[in-house]
Amino acid sequence: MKVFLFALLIVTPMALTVQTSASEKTTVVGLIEDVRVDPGGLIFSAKMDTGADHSSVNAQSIHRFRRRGVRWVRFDLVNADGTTASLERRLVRLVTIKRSEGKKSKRPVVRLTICMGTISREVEVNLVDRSRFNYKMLIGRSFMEDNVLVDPSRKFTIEPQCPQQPTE
Amino acid sequence: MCAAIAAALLWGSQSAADKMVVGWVEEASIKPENLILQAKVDTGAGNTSIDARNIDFVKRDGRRFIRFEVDGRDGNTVEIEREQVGIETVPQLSGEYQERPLVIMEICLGNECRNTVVNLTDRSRLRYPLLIGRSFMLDRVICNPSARYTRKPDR
Repeated sequence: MKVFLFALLIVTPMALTVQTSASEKTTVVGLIEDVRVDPGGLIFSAKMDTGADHSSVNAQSIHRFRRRGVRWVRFDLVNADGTTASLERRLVRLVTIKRSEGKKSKRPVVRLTICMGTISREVEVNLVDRSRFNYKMLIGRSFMEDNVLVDPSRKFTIEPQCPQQPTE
Repeated sequence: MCAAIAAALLWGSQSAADKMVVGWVEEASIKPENLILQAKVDTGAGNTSIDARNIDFVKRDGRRFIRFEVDGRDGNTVEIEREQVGIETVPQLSGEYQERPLVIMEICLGNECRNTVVNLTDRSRLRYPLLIGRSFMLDRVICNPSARYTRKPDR
């Protein structure tokens, strides 16, 4: 077992893509990568956060409403350049956040499509106010599961290269 | 101060082929106490943090040491003493600041051990008592966010 692990340590890190089995390929990304969010097509410089279950994105002017009995959210995605995309998405769920001093707030979760390199996935994303943070988006494990490894010593190693989504 | 801490880490130079791949949760061990802890490997965290209780400051030969207790995976409580190398000021959401003492601890994943700057904090309400941040990973560790427990702690 130790010999196998040793051999794996030698072989695995030598390339940016790694064969884990006959049909699977893994991609190594850096700590920060430019990703595209659809709908809207906004580009975010996002931090890979292996400590987070799901991704989070900077959203402003968040309004929840009902349409024919179904819960929706209207919000503006805003990236670091200040570019904005106004979107309406179905509400997946609300997460209750307990703050200090006993205050509670509700954070909406919606589904968005994220493109990183050639990987495009629709995943759950928390809508949060990240206006005071350097990086307006965090990528959580639910996007990265299956074949994405994070090398935190690198940054901006890939550009979004997924086929363009048709605009809604 | 930062240069002194970096020198103390004793890593040496590294080539790209020497990177270790770990999962997002691992069993880590602290040397020389051989304390086994569940650790979350968090690329979103700059620093490495440990859940420390009953913190006492001790002065010996003009140097400052910190004595604290950590609960291990096996339900044992271990007393640890390390020299203090600094203090970290962390802004809280309330607007106040929390001060966390810094020590150097030898943390091992499998049989790969690294001297790491660790801050002492209260993680009692969190799932994992040890948070391994980028201060451990530096340029030698890659994280696989879909893997857990990829290596057993080396006793």
